[in-house]
Amino acid sequence: MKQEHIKAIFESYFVMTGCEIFHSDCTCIQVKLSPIADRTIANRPYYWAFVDNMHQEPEPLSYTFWFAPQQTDLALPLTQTISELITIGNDKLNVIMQELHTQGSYTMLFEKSATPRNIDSYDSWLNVNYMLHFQTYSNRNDVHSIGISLTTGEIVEDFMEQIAHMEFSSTIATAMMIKPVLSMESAQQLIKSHIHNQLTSADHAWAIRASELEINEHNRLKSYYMERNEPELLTKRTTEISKIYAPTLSVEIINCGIFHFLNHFRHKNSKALGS
Amino acid sequence: MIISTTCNLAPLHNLQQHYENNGPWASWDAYKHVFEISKNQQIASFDTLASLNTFLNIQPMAHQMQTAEIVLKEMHGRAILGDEVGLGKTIEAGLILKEYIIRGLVSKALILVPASLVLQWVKELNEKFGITAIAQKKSYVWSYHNIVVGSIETAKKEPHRTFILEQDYDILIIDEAHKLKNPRTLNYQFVNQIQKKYCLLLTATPVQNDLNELIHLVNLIKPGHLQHIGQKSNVSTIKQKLQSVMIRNRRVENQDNPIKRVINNIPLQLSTEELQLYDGVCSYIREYAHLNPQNGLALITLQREVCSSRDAVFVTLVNLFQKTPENAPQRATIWTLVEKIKAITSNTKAEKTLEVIREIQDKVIIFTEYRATQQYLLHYLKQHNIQAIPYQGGMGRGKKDWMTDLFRGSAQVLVATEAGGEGINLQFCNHIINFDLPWNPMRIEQRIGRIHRYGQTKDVNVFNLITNGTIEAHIVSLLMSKIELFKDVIGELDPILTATEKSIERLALDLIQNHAYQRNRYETRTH
Repeated sequence: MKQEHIKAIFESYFVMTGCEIFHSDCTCIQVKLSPIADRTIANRPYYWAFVDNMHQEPEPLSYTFWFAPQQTDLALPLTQTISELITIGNDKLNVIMQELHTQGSYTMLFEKSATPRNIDSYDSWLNVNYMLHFQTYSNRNDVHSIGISLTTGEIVEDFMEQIAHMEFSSTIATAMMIKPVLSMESAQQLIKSHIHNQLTSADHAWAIRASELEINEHNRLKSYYMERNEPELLTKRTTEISKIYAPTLSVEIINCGIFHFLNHFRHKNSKALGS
Repeated sequence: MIISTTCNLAPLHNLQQHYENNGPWASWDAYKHVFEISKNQQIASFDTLASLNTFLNIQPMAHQMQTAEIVLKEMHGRAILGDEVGLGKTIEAGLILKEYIIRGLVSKALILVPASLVLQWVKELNEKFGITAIAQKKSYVWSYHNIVVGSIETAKKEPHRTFILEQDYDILIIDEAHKLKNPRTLNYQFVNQIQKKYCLLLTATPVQNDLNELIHLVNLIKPGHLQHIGQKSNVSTIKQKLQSVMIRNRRVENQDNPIKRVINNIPLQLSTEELQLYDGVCSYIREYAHLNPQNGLALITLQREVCSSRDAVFVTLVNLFQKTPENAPQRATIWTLVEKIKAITSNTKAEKTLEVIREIQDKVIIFTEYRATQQYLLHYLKQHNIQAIPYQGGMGRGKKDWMTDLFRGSAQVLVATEAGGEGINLQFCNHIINFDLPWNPMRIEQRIGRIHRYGQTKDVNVFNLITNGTIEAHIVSLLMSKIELFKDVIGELDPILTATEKSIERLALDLIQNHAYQRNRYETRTH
């Protein structure tokens, strides 16, 4: 993630939570947090417990968040602030991303139209964006975006990429109708089996290697601690080794939504149902 | 093979709920934003650094990036970072920590460092890596904060110990890990009890006196890895096995134009009065050592102290005198030794030191093992109009920083005791005088490492003051043999003492033959 992305995430969060932004350029943001933002990102539960119990007027913190090396010669409006360098992995960034995530988890959108159309019903699709996590001593992950037609059950990959340029509204246009053929339940079933196929057909060489490493380490620990008669340490160390090596695979849904298109949604690489 | 698979499809059901309740729905922008953030967080590979393309407030050097990658890819997060002093082990540890944080594999981290380095670590992690590390002050901090830097001395004591042992750490990082060489110590046992996933041990000197130390260190990260290995028999096997748990970068491999280290051994002849005292101490030891064998080391300390300064030996003699029963025969001998001290009016080493300082006309650090010598030198240099300031382990952090600033500013000389050796960075100075020598080569390496490190631009000059015909010559030869052991297993060590002084070695041999002590007694001294 680039620093400019991170800065944009912070800025949109401050706007969303009603913080007072005093300064913003490409290197830093100076902000006085709103009470809600302070509670969420400043990590001072004791202070807030005190304010709440004593019915005090809260005094939220002011920060200078840096997204580039700190410049000391910059004339900034606030002088009494806490300085913090923000890069990927930062706690506050994680909290903010989590907050943004809850704001963008579920949607239902209707394609906007500039001119009146002579059709009367939308072409409806269910979109699911998800991440596959592969984890052993290290990890990697893939983001996938699929769409399933609620009319035909057809499944399309790279769905978000294909609709990113389009415009949507959260309200239905007048005189239009939604006529999904497929129930949500059956659409979900189709998506589940799609993900399941994806998992079973993936290359598992990494997991085989991880298991071998884990077994080797366990054997070494066993012979070392049995000889020394230290069963407690053996248990402790064995657990640690499993935490490092045991291969795990997980599916995490990023967000999902229902999209209604004006025209029949035409996509590249279409995959027919059941193929 | 079992792959544990979890598949949380609850959001699909939540979507259905929202659908039935007709909302609430995210806007197109918010929805797109969340997807974009996730795309940006993708990690493509198990083994290449994800932190490579992210912003760090430093430019890591090639060997540091390479080290981080090897730890991730081949050592799987359990490693000894054994770079020579001054190559940036802190940076390497920071890179590795950052890498695991970005990957989401580490959220809870414990970093144990010498007390004097706690704030420096916190500062570097925050400023260079954007890692929100907290310096431990209260005991609840251990459990309350995710990334905590604390001192091992505090950590091992109650109530801290209990707090720490209750935690389940994703990573444990220990700086100056050579202090964990003995499994019988509280430090070692405590560290061994901590529950951790990944573990980094940082030390420039993984072997100090013998190979067992290395085995114990390795046992903390990979128990049993070096277990069935004889002492000296198969050095190449050890070397090979070590490579899978330890990385050691060396200066010459990493810099285009390496800073040279110039070693000057200055042999000195003690004055007649000093020699009389030294001989007096030696004959006292020969005569009375058998009375109190456990005290052998204390007596050798006496010899070493005479070689340092009369002030150092005076304190020890007076203590010895007071501890000796009034009717004991040695009491009179001790008193004659004290009388001999009074006859000494000058210090050969101090005079030579003054001469060297005047020749250098630049900043100099003097290291001594003894507080009394330190005090004497400060006084002596002041008398000769040279501004000198003290530096020792007992000083608080604030005072240490202040002394460092004074030294950077107006003071020409810093007189440090052994405890001052670790953790301070004094690259602006390039001269060191070893007024007396410790028994452990790695401690000299730590001393020299204060100035011979990243950021030094000039050649580093080291002056070793060695008094002929005394125990110091023996120390030199002992240091040599320890350096050999280190070289066999770990690799080359920059010259600490030049090996050309054959005469000193011969002298040392004579000394061993003349002494009533067994060789191993010298070696059992621990720090």
